[in-house]
Amino acid sequence: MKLYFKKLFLLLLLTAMLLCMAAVFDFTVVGNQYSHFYTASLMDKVDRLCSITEPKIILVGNSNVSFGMDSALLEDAMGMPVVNLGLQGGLGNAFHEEIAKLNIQPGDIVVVSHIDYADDDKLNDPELAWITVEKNPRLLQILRPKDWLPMLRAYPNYAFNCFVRWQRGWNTIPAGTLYIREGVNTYGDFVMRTGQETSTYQFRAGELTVPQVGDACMTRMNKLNKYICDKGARMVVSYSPIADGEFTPDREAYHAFAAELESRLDCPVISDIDDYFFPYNCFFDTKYHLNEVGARLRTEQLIRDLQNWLNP
Amino acid sequence: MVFNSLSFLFFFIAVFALYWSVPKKFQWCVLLASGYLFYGICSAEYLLLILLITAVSYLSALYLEKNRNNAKASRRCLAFTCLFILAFLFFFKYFNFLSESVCRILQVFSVEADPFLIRVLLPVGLSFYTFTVIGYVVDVFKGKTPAEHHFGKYAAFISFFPTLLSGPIERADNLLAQIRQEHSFHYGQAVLGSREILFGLFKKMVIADTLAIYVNMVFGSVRSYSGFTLMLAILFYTIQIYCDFSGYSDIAIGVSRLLGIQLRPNFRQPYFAASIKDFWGRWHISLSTWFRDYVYIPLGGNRVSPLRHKLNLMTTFLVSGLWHGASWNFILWGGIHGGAQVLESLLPKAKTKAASFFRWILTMLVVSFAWVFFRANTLSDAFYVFSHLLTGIGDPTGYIVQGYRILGLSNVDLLVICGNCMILFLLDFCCFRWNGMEQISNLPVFLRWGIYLLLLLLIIFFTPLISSSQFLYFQF
Repeated sequence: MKLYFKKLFLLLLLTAMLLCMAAVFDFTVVGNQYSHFYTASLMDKVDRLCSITEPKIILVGNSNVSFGMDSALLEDAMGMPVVNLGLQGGLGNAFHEEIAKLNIQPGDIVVVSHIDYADDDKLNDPELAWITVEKNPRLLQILRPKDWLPMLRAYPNYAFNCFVRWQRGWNTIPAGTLYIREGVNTYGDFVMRTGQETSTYQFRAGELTVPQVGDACMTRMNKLNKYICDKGARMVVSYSPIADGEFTPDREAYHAFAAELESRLDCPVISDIDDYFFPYNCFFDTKYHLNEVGARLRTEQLIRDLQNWLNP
Repeated sequence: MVFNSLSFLFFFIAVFALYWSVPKKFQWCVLLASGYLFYGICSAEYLLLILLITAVSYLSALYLEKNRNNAKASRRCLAFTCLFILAFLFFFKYFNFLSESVCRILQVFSVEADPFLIRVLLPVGLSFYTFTVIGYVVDVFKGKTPAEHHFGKYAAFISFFPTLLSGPIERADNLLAQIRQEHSFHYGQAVLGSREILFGLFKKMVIADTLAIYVNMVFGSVRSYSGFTLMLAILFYTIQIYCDFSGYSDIAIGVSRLLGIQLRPNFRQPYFAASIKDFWGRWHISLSTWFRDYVYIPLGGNRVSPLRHKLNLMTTFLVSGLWHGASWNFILWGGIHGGAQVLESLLPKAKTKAASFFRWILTMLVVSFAWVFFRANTLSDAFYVFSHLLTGIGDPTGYIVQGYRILGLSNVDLLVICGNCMILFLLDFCCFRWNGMEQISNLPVFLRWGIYLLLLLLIIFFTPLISSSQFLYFQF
């Protein structure tokens, strides 16, 4: 049995050594291979977040925030710098919340707008998380200890794809897609390209569902609220845009969701859910992404909500 | 708890440590406890059912042995036991199918009836362990094997965790005989077992799980696809099901070897089969030999008139199809294989190499196309696949290029899939030529370790993150 285990150990050791060598090669030679992807805008968002020392408004959420805000308008109206940290639903709510933690200062207002509040407190797609943070030490800090096991599991897939991209010289601006880092402005808002501003998403029956509230998400968000309050900042929740039309479920269900969310959160919900229903023609390429008109309407509503909350 | 999960790894490490550290005469106790713990983790609500079936078959076997001279009483006992066990299988697996089928037939005669459906989950592994139990009782009845007097050892045989959920369907003369024995750790067996586990994981995690992504995409909404995409889906499923199930069997056999127990091989490179008959001698061998011994031969086998022989073949395959699932798809799948064997028996033997090659192509076509019925969600989906296979073939280049682009397959994906399938082919080809993988031990050490390292790295790098992980044969 000793011989068997000795050889098994040797085989595993050899495998581990080869993997380490591959990882060193990946980190030092291959490097970042998704630096023009839309998700790479996280680097710019974090740069902005960390560079502002005065009290600021931090927008947290998935792509509904990135594709649904006019941060310049918000900044003008509120007189505070704005950082839009909205990114991608595939990363999960927790990931987006963790980004904000990189620089919370006294006086900051953190506005959280998730599309759903029933997540399982996990990274939805660890490979996407790798593509997003790549090999940037500062971005790797976003990951929580509990995220490292799924990240480790996803690393070989990511590394292989990086290798292919490196070997083929594919780390260039992807053609034929709007989803590029260069499509995001200095605030972190996604800026539509010419010709796409008025695109309207075609909704289908059964596609729209009422958001849910879950224990794991509530516990985590209340902890985040405490963390933010301890730093001398404030956290509020506002709703993500809801498409209003023939396929939209009953308002009553949305009201029930809003009531539950408000009752379970320690931080204030500053918006009225009825104000966040937007007609179908305000949506761009998914049920979560507002077009330019929709983004302006939503931002104006958020400004009113913030002003009402700050000056009751 | 599937074999390719971390939880199973920890479970097995614990079982392995305990198994080799207890006194040898108590090794069966570890197997029994681990079997019931394993089943309890997978399907706790049905622990009592497996215990009941074990107890009834144990007592029946003792009765059969005791009353061997009383043919009438033995036959009654055998019939009762088999019916008792099959009743559970019928209740959990076939009742709803029968109820729905009867209602459909009544609808043909304009009689409106709502099917009475039972809403219960199929107990995990029921199809497999009931067959193990029936095989044992019949063998005792025929005097092929002695009845086990030790209830604990018998229960350990039925609940042997590597084979409990998806086979191989073991026989008492092999597995029970080994459970009775005391085992010592054998280096050669352990190496062979580890190698089988490694090959099994490669087949399942790298090939089957990767192909499953595309297969599930197409068969999940089959009417959104046509032409070469459907052709690719059939090809992918043909490889997927082999890698999935033979991978599972390899792991089960390997795990058993690490415990000093040798199971019979369940797959012997079935896609190298020269005929449908040959295919069934290589595919899910434990099931096909079970049907041979307990259905086909009792029906008369081939020692009857030619017409009756063909009828026996068809019956066996139809029952085998039904065993796989309570649906007309599976029955038709069984029927295709039975029909193909009947037709094959009418053909002259292939005498030249070209004829053998042609026969192999024909066999592969039958096997692959029959898988459509096995995988499609409904019969109409299966027929849709066949009727749309050649859509767009007027432009052959576009037919092929568009076919795989629609699946979202990049050139790199295709290259990875082809590369991994090539490795599978080489491994299978070597096993086919060497009649097993024992010969790998004779390869030079660098080559041997190179293969191990390559497979380990492929498993680490190419296991899809969104893997189906569940083994296909769990559903049966």
